[in-house]
Amino acid sequence: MSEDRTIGVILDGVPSRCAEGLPLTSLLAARAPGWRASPRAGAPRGMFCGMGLCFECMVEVDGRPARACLETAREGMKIRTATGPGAGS
Amino acid sequence: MSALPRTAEVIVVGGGVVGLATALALAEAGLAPVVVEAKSFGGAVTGGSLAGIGAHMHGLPEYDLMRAACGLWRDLATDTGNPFEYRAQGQIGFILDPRDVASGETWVREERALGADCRMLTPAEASEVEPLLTGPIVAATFAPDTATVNPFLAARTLLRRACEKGARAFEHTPITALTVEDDRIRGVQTASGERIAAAHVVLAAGPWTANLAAMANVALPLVPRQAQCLASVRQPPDTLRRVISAVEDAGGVNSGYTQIQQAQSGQILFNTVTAPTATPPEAKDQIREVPPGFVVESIDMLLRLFPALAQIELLRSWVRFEAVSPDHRFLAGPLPVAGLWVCAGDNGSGYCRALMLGRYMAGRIGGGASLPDALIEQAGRLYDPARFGEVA
Amino acid sequence: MTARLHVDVAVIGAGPGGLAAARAAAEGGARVVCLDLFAAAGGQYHMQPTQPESRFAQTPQVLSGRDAARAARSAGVEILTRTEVFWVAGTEDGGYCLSACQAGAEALSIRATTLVVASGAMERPLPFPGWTLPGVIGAGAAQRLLKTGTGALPVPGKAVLAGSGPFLMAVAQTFAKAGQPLAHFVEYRRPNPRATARLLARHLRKLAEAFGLLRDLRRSGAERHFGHIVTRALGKDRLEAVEIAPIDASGRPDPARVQRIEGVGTLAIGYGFQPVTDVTAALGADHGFDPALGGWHCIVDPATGASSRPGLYAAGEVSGIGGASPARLSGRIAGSHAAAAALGRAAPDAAIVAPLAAELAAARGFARGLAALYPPLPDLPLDLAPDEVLCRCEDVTLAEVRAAVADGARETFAVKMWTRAGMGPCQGRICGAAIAAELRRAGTRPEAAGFNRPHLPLRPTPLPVVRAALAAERGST
Repeated sequence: MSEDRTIGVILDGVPSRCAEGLPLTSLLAARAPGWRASPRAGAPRGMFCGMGLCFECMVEVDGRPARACLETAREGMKIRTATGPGAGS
Repeated sequence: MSALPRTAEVIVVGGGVVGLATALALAEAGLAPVVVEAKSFGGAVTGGSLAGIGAHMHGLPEYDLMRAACGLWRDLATDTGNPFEYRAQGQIGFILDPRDVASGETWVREERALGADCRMLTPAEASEVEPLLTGPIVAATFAPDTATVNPFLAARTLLRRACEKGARAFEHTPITALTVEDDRIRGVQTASGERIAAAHVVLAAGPWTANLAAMANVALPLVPRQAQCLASVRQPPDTLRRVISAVEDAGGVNSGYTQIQQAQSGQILFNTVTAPTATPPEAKDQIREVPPGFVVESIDMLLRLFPALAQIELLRSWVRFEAVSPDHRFLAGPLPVAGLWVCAGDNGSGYCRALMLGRYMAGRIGGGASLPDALIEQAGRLYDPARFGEVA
Repeated sequence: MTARLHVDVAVIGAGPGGLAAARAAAEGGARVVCLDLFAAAGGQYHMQPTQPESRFAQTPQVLSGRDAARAARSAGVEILTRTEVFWVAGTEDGGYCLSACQAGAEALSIRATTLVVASGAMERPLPFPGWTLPGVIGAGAAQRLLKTGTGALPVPGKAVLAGSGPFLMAVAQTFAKAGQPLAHFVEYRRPNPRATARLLARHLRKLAEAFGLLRDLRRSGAERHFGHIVTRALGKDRLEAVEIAPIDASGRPDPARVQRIEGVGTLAIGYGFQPVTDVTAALGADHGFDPALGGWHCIVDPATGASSRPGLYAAGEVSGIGGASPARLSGRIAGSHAAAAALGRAAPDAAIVAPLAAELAAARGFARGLAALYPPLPDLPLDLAPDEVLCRCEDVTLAEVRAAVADGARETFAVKMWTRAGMGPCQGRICGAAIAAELRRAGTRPEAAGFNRPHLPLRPTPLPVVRAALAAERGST
């Protein structure tokens, strides 16, 4: 990936750089494939269907709930994971 | 599933919470009822209910019966290990208009006189009891003993317990005819053409009860009323702690209502109706979607009271049809056809009364002592199906 | 502020079917809007890369998708991406009102005289032991990671691709084209060269595609296991290993011949597709159940694309799984008819539409032939432990579903009431097939089990967006 196309995002409070337009699922799964806790068992979950229908990859983007599989990285984007009630927050 | 029986001592038509509670009480009295449900158990008005268990703001004449009804739910939760999420959350009745404060104060004064633990709250006190309630309320009532149950699981518990005690229950078994001979009920006929003979038939089919009674040429003053609810996606536990409702003025639910609560699942359930409109009788078999105006009103009221919830997501919505009677009380008791009984007329708050009414019905049909005498006398007076005059 | 649009024809979905429908409708003289959830038009089939240096930037599927979108725009179609329709209702004048959420935050309300639903398909998710472990993803999800991301799978470790059907080979091809190592390819069915040859002999145009798939499966370097199934995914907080076993004569895995694959980072699973029917079902159109068409699908007249509901048309996978060719053809047919109906004209020129119908019948014939080569797997082909999760949204286990069935639940709706399976954000799309399988064990046919009827909203939507779109519909603020 070419240097000039990387952008900065804030991932769980940590500044990170990645390719502009990178799907958030790629960005998140590279860190760990699970980034959410299931509601009752608190089991780790991440991307599953990859097409916006299973809601397993939920994150918070700029304060709003979002499906990671539908989002692509933008400069300054704030991404928060494990925001679900099962996360013990 | 076993085949339909040919005969039964008692047939209960309707597998919602009222029919199942009646079946449970009958089974406990040794009457081995057969329950026939047109669709799935607890799938209609029961499943669509918010299942509030409380006596607050339900009127003074019925107060003792309501208290007993609430106690029966609490006892059932204790006896069964509470598989139906019984929780005594308490109830806040919010008041937005200073002119309605007097109404709230009257409810509190009168219920306290009957021994209730309710009280008035200032806005500051209300936000202590319910931290996210930061909207522009001027006062609130507070009834700490109001509870809720999971409407699906409570119905399932009643079904299972009734069957353990000798009831038999059949889903997807609609009734197409009531057999009447010599002014006496003889049994029912199902859509698949089968007949079940019985000495007693209890009609407990909510908004469909009047249609059933008409099969025996009995006219019942029960009309369906559309009600609906919205649910958010899961929120963290204790986002809302109480049942939040509008303080009812003298007009009762006809002047509009609001109820907001967080289910044990974490979903926030909410509905507001400010100007109820008439429901055509056929709507209960047709309409399945909430009206857009209701959605707008409900969201506005939720966010007015709880501005912090502005970014939550709506998950689902549903419509239910309640059975409304002229005086907003149940019709429970005998009909002019011997052996034919009715127990319907939830008026939007049937869940709370179901166990009490089930006992009352079982006592009337079987003759046992299922409730204290004073309550049986009160119920006989308040719920008499003949109280509106000739019904046949 | 809520955006409002007034069009003759609204098309939901900008995949092959939706783009073809939108273009045909616009060429028929209609004002057309075409809505899609993703950031780029094309759907799953024409999936567009996000990275310009992607190896997929110039593939025929990507280019043809770009062309289809361009052609639709030239014909006058307004394509709105990142637009999710969360509700559709009939209006008093017989038209439709769509409520949508744009970019996750903005409300859009659209009035349309007729509506074409081309909402596509989703993978048929069949639970198996360990299927909820992070790292276990859909085959389509793997394809999306390879095509739209950096071209590499983000999770380190081996990649295993498993399931059944021609799409599995297409995903293996994607691995090969991406230059990504694929360690194992696990296909439930054994090759049937004779039947395959017979099918291809009847559809010679598909020959090159079929050879390409076979060539690229070899080129992927994967160890190929035909007649095998993944019996288990293992790992603590993420996928670490996969077990596979050969299928015996009864169609079940042979427990004595289980093979373990260690060091797995990604397991992509694909057991075929099911139509996404939430819009057509919400509108009450007639639906049918046919395993060869992916289960529940919207019933349409193939000559017009019309559903049982006036003014509502369906194209592509939502009317039965068949792939991109039937989608394009049925899209053109449905779009032409939807435009004619919206403009109050007679049916479109038979000289144009009739040959399309013949082509569609042939394309559907090929799809049926493929479905016969890869019959859908039996419901829940593996024995699951009682604590295995069936409903991922609500963490509902097999034991809980079985207990509900034992208590008298006889339809999908009853299981949902008593267990919460299907009550979460996905609204039963993922667990529906597994619940139906459990009900079938108890004697309920899938037709009788039914499906979770969609209600407002079709997808979780922020309250302010719901409010704004519905208020706009009522003409108030």
